[in-house]
Amino acid sequence: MAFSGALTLTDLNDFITPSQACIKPVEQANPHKPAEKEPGAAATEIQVDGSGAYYEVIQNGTRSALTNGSSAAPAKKLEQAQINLNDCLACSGCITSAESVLITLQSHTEVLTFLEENEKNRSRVASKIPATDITLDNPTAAEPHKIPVISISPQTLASLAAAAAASPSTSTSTSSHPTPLQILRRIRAFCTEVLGFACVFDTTFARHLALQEHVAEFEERWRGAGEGGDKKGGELSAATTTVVGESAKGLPMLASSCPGWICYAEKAHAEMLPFISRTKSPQQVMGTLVKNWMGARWGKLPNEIYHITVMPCYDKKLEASRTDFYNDIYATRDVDCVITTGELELLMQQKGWDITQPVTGELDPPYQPTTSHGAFDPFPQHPHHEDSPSRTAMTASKSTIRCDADEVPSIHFPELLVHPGTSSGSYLNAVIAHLQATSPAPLTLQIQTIRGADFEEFVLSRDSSSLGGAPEVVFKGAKCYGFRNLQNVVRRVGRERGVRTTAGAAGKLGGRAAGGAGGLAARVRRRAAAGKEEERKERAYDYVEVMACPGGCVNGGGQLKPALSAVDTNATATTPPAPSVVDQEGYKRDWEGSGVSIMPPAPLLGMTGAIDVTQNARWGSKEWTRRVEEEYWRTPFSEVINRLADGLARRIINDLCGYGDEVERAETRRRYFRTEYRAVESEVIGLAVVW
Amino acid sequence: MYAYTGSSSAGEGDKTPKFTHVSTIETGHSKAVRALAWAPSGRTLATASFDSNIGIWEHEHGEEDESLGGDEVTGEWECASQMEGHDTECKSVAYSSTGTLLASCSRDKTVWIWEVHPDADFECMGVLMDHSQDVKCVAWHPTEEVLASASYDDTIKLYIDDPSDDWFSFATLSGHTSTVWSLAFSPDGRYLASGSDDRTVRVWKRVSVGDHRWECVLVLGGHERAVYSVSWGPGGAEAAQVGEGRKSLGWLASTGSDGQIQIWAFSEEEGEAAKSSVTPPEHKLIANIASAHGVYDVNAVAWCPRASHADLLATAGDDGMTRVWRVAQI
Repeated sequence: MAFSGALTLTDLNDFITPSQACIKPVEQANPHKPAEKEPGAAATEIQVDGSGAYYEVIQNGTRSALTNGSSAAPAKKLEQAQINLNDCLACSGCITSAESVLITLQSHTEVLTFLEENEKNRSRVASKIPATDITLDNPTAAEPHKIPVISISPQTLASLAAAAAASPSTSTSTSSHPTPLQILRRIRAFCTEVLGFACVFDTTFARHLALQEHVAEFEERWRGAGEGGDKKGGELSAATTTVVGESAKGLPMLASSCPGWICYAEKAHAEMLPFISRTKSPQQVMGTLVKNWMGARWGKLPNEIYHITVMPCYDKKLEASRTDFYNDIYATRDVDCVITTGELELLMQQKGWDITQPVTGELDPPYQPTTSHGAFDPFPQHPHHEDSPSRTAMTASKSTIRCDADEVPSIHFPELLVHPGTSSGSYLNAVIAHLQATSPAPLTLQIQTIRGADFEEFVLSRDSSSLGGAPEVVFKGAKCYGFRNLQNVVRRVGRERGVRTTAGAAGKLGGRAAGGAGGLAARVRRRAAAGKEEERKERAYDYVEVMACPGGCVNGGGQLKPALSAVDTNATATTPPAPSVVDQEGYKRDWEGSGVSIMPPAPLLGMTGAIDVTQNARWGSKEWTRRVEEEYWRTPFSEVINRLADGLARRIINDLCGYGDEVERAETRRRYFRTEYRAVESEVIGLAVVW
Repeated sequence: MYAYTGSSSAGEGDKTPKFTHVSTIETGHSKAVRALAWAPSGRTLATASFDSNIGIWEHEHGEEDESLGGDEVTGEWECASQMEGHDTECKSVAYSSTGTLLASCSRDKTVWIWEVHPDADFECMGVLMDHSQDVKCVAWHPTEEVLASASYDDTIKLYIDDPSDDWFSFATLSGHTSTVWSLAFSPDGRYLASGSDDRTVRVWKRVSVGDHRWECVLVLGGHERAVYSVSWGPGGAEAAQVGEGRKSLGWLASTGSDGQIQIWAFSEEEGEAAKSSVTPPEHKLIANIASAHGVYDVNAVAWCPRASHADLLATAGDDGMTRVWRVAQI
């Protein structure tokens, strides 16, 4: 074995494609037993037919089977190796391919397929025809007819509203462009009339519940971390890293509604997991509401409801697929399918529904059926607009429509609740508002921009000037959006709480190297310990609202992209009408307003074409995000409706958790509104070649 | 493969530099250290490892150091910081000219920019995901805050900071037909050299003044296999002798899989800097060493950064050796 010393691996490229790293198909057991009695006795070969299906045929003889389709042929159709979502979630071998799997498993075509199948099942059930067509090929035929329910995120509505505002058919009309509430009602009309959904909700009421639970969890952690500091006149300031209680979770609490962040933390920063809020996201709370609470009201089992959500984010598909949200007993998920804003738009396009066209009743105020006691009534006896001239009128302003009238009574939630704060869910704001409301002494809020609008610090301080002291900081929170800022928050929290490099990327290193005194991690820790005293002077974070997308959820990956209009190149060729022109992205720019004089675009600002285009594109998406944000806040805040929602929330929690024993109640509440996170260890090392 | 041995040079001898091994850093990186970079201060060293982390090493100043004075480096190298962030193997790391920024790149296709804070603290300034494949190399402009990265996607990308916003890629340089392994800016910052798996070195020029547009002005052949490393230095004393009305642009060394070291001298007309036309610089092959490390590949080449030793060149080969060369006039 005398290889030339010059023989090296230089001709290999060292990029491992996801498929190479993914081990899942290899692990999958083949459920089919070989046709032969003695394995290996007969040689077999695999043939591919015209449709791309694979057949295993016995080599000696029946090759003709494939071509003439004779029933006597032992040619056996082979099952395709499939990687399902859970395989992907259980593996950190690749990230990119997981997304493409997701898109096919939860897409708008999947929604259409389901609705079609469901319709068949309904007629079968209705006519009491025994399910004779149940075969292994078509297992869905055995499924019961399900009540289709769809829940739409408020960011989705804002995105669609912004797009409708930019669309030519809206801008030519005299009326102002539609509000998110109008958009919700148009989608409701579409989903009920065209697609046959039983209920169309927005997810803001679920968010209302999620925020309450979020604040309750913060309170638990805060008390634990504060060493019972709340006893003496609201002495909230005793922030130490001491963790009290069995949970040992402590502060800071990090928001958990962003699935991109959760995925990232589980894969790369396991040391952050204890800090991440256990409270379910609004999407999953909605899942609980629909499958458990509504199901119980309807007398339907969780698997007799099909729940679809529309989200601004692809990673919400991942979230819905987590095992934590899977019901083993009924083999169903709290959210069966997640589609993005873009996919909903596609769905409407395919069905020829024009979102820019108004529906009757869309301008009605939010529907608030109340009981005789003045509480919000989710089951109004006399549906609103019963005698409206068209069906659209009835569907438009109500939270549900009795499409499956024979099966289920209608249920209502408050429409489009506004939670002041951020367009990503106002988690930080809810915590701050809670602290301000419960503190015995007035607390002043100061907001400091760290880096743009995506990284801001919020400091609550108690004025102690009467005692001759400087204002005392009692709470420090931050809003941190975007991957870059997230990095810095992770580093900072790790440093502040002394958990840095215990896991995650360095965990790979940890096992082997950190054990030794010379380990990189060990060295860093030594050094960090030295600098700790100094860092303690600055208050550590108590809460961080973390979102993976720059700009937050309004700029989610599943949102509509800035509309490109046909004017594109013409806009620069023709003289632009001052003061606003349509720019290359196809929407209006207020040049004068942004301090740019309107000039022929050629050597503008001394920038080259390359840089100009790049900046336009970047500026464009920012501008677009700003507009979606603007749309998001067009819904007026109503204290009255939010109080009604509080009442309904209490009622629902009582319904779900019962009125029994406190411990049991708390346990049930935890089960319904909290979840868990797990570090995902990378098992795939890739090629062990180092070059 | 689990420890890195760093030999610092202390070659103060005038004509025949002497090298002595002064220190070994047990990095604790769990995989190979792929690249390292000195901060401009010379007091800090960054290591890029296949364990996906970046280590920052600072020299611990013992009391006795002060008494010794001079350039003698003794005492321990301590890990001052560790940056996690890359998903997979970190391939290259580089300090900006002022030492305030650090860039790193990885097989995860990203380029990260870190701001150096006091007390070995770092803040992430940007995660740039513009490349579609493994990023092989990062290099900073010698005077400005312009970053270049080279990738397995055959392109080079250039980045600047938008003061009101984030770092972004303002240009993509395409032309290489295979992986771009290495980058080097010319000392005056108006040219960029790139070494590629397509066996060529390309020279890119910043065209038109005050502008961020770069064009390929030269393709240098001569290597029989992949070019792994390029280094552009000011050149030795004789580099300045380029004739009347001309200005030296320094010397470019390239090396690679074929074991060759090539050294090119570049010059341009006086006043060309103001014009910045697409005219290629004048280039002359002044040295060509075949089989620099015997039968082995040569992986890296670097000019000595000290002005008094600008004619010194170091290469690292697959034979596990580092060789130091001097460009001598014949």
